[in-house]
Amino acid sequence: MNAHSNNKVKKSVNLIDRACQKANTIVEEISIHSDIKRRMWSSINQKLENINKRVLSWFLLSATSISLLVAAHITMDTIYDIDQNTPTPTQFHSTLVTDQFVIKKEVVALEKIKHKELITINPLRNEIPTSLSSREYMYCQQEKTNLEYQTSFLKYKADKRIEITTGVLISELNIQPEIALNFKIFDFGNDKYSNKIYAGISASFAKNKSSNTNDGQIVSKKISYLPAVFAQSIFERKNNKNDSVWTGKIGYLLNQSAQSVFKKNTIKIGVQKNIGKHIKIGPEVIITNNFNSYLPGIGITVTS
Amino acid sequence: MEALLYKTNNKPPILDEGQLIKQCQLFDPQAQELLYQQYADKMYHVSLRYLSEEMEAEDTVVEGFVKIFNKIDTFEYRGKGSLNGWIKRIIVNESLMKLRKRKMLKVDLEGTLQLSSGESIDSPIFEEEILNEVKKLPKGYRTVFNMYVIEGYCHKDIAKHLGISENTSKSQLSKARASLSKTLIRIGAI
Repeated sequence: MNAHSNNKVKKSVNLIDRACQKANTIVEEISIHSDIKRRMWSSINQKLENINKRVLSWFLLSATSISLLVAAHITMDTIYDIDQNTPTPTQFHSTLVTDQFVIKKEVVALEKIKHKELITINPLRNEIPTSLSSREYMYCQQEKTNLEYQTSFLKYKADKRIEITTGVLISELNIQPEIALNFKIFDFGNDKYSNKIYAGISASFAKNKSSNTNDGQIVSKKISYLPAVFAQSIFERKNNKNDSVWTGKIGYLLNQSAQSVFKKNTIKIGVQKNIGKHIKIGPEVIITNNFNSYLPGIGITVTS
Repeated sequence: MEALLYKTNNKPPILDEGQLIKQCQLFDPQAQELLYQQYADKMYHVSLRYLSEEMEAEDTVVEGFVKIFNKIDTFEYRGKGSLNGWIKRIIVNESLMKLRKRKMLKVDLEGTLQLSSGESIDSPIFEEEILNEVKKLPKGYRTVFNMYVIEGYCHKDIAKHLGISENTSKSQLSKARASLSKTLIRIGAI
């Protein structure tokens, strides 16, 4: 009786399973609506494009970072070489001046003046002792070097207190122009480095796009003309010897509105190095949507 | 070998499945579209079987195909059917993830689905009616039934995937069958 019942159940199970499997095989062959298919393909394409852009951004970001690191390494090496190889008075005299030493011409000029003075003081003397001459020469050069640093430091101290900068952030979304107003709040340093700390605000004009999709990624969808205003603080370190300037900045988004390109808690972090007197470049990242989404890019800043 | 054709070329090259995969591994957009065209319908139905909501099924297919195109370089072609199995596995996993995200995997004996009428654009066929009965099962039953009967997973794998015990899986399958047997008899499917 039990065996008969078991067989009946098994038969029923087989029938159910087979009916469903067969139904599934047939239904899977049914074409879905072409609109649905097109819509899905367009979404897939968009997501793939976003991934490609992100990869490209990261590549650009990495390339910039590596370039900056290489540049920094070269700068540090140069400084190290100068520090290590600063000639002693006798070396200096025997080898004269290396290419790295930038005040060569001025030293020569001073030497001439000194030489002239010696001649003027003692015109009737036929020979000037060599040792005396070289000692004078070295003294002049040392003195001039110190003077140079001092001048540069004083000049730096006399910098303006308000700085207006403009720039762009090139990211996977677009190119965002940016304008910033920074106030110098600290200024300190020594004869080698000068440091400044600024506090200010910046406004990024993200001309297009962005709304949050279901997974929190920023996707091109609508145009927003509302600038994203960040409160920011900037630390700037200048090497007085070679005028290289490194800048680190961190900012927090102030205007979190529905129209804003960036959503919820948003910060931006960036590091820049000068590539001229007024231009700085470096990687920058905006972390938005309560720190769940990130937007890497390359920032270029023009200072006044 | 199933011959596949590029649609856009004047003299379309003939691609078999292996070549299509190779082209996709080179991120060829045409090959990607071809692959999508070939599998989208089937995968949409697979996803719909688990999720029972068209919008969710669409999302899952989109996310699944993005994953497929990004990971296809890791796929090793082992003859006909292996690609279909691989794609199906990704779509099933995506569907399960979606279910897990929305906390839909709790066994809900009362919670039957309210299916919208006219789920397919084609005129309803008898087989669709059978599958609609499967979709009407409570979520837990439906998931186990789909995985065991349609996809062919064993109870051990189902338990692992869903984070339940093997006995729970067996019990849900049994209840799903019991529930289906009544409805399938009613509509004359068995």
